[in-house]
Amino acid sequence: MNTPASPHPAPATTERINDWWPIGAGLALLFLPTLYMLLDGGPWSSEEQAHGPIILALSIWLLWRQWPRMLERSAGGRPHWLGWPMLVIGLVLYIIGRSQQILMAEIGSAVWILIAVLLLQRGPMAFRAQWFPFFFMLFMIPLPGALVDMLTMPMKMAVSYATEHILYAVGYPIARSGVMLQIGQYQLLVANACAGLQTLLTLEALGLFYLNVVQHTSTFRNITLACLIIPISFTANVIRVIVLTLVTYYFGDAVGQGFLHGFAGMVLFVSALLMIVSLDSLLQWIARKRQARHGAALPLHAERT
Amino acid sequence: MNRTLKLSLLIGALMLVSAGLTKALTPTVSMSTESGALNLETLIPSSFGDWRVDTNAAGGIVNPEVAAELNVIYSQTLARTYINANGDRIMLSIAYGDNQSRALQVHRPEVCYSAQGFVISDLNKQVLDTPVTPLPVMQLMTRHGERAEPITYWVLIGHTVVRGNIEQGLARLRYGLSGRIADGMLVRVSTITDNQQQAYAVEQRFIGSLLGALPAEKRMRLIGKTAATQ
Repeated sequence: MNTPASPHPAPATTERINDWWPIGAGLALLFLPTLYMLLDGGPWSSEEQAHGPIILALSIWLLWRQWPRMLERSAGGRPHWLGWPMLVIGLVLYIIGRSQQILMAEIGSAVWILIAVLLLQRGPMAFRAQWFPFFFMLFMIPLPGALVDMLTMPMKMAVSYATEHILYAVGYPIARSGVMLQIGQYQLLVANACAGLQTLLTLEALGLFYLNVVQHTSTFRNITLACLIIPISFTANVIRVIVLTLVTYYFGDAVGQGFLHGFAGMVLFVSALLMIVSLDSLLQWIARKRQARHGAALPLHAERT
Repeated sequence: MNRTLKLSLLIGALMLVSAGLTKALTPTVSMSTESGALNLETLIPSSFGDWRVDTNAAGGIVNPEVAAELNVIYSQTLARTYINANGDRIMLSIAYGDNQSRALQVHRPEVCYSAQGFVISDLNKQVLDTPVTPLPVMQLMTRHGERAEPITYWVLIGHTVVRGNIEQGLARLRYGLSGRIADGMLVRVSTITDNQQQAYAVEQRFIGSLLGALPAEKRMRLIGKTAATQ
């Protein structure tokens, strides 16, 4: 390294950070306007993309948390040539995405650019230390509209179908035509937001975040929980629609709409969180049982993980 | 100067250049002002060929949430029912948005209808023969309970008729990179009937008769430049 020798290790680190200011300034120049656009009446202020800022904040926190370990692991790392093409791809995506309002390219460019910066400045070890925050950031990139439309419809059908059958089974006067629910004299349309492709992704992201922070050692538990998040968020969506339907049935349309905008999201997240935590405890219990049973096989299993 | 700082300065400079390029490439000219004021009410005559506006047609029941969203996306909308001597009824619905940027793009019926609980089937790309020009359109069948509604529609982005999401996006990008903010129009013609093939035939006659009755410059507002000059 050409870093001037310094008597204490700490100033060397700060100095190295100070050497990064042009990148910081460049990132601010590129992405502060994007952030402003997203939040100021943009997609992130809408119901469907409301998870965007949460994901961003959590990614930054994860990056920051891993930063010292990354510096330590990548000390003396040489730049990797792959950083240059990645930087160029990222910048081109940004230029086209921002000027032509292609949100996926504009937000996605940030991931390319940040990875490129790490590869160029600290080498592949730095990326290896920070892969999770970058993976996590993918959840903040909006999916292409066509894909969302394609996936949302079957989910809406499934949510309305489940709601109809559960409520009918417990004796409510409910009927369904497509995604239109009729309960008593009220008609409810399962809207895109309710089907929650985005909420599914958000819950999946938060679930992965939980797993990453808790740092389970059992691979079995991690993978099972990551897969279970999909049915969990579906169930949470059904619970939300059922609660909304019943509120409308008992208290009228106005209360139902008020509930929809104020409280329904909360029900969704709380029920999903409760399910995740209780399933996690159950898995923990199962894992412990397995461990007790395969006491001898355990070292092998640990080696594989 | 150490390696880290040199690299940082280089990367920072590249970012600065990118910000400048972005500014230069951002379209500023709005195609809707370029083409002059548009009034859908007067653009489409209330009678042409053997078609006239059916004044007896009941106004559709409007879902307030849908109406609010339409107001945000489109700057003008027109909904009319036409009838001919045979008693064929056609619903014509036009939506115009002066800015086809991200949030305000024209919504295609296969998306809107399914969001309203309609079941979509038989979505097809077609080229309609009209007296004026062959017109690329989409045709689809929608059902909602007992109600069956075959639809023929086309989307105009700037001066180009597009079919499908990809063509729509590419047209927008092409205009955008040449510095122009495209406007967009959705023209939808539909009939409430179970007989799909007959409905498409009636819709084709209606569209042909409408395009034939319009003077060239008005027609251009509906089907764009390339198609209109052929």
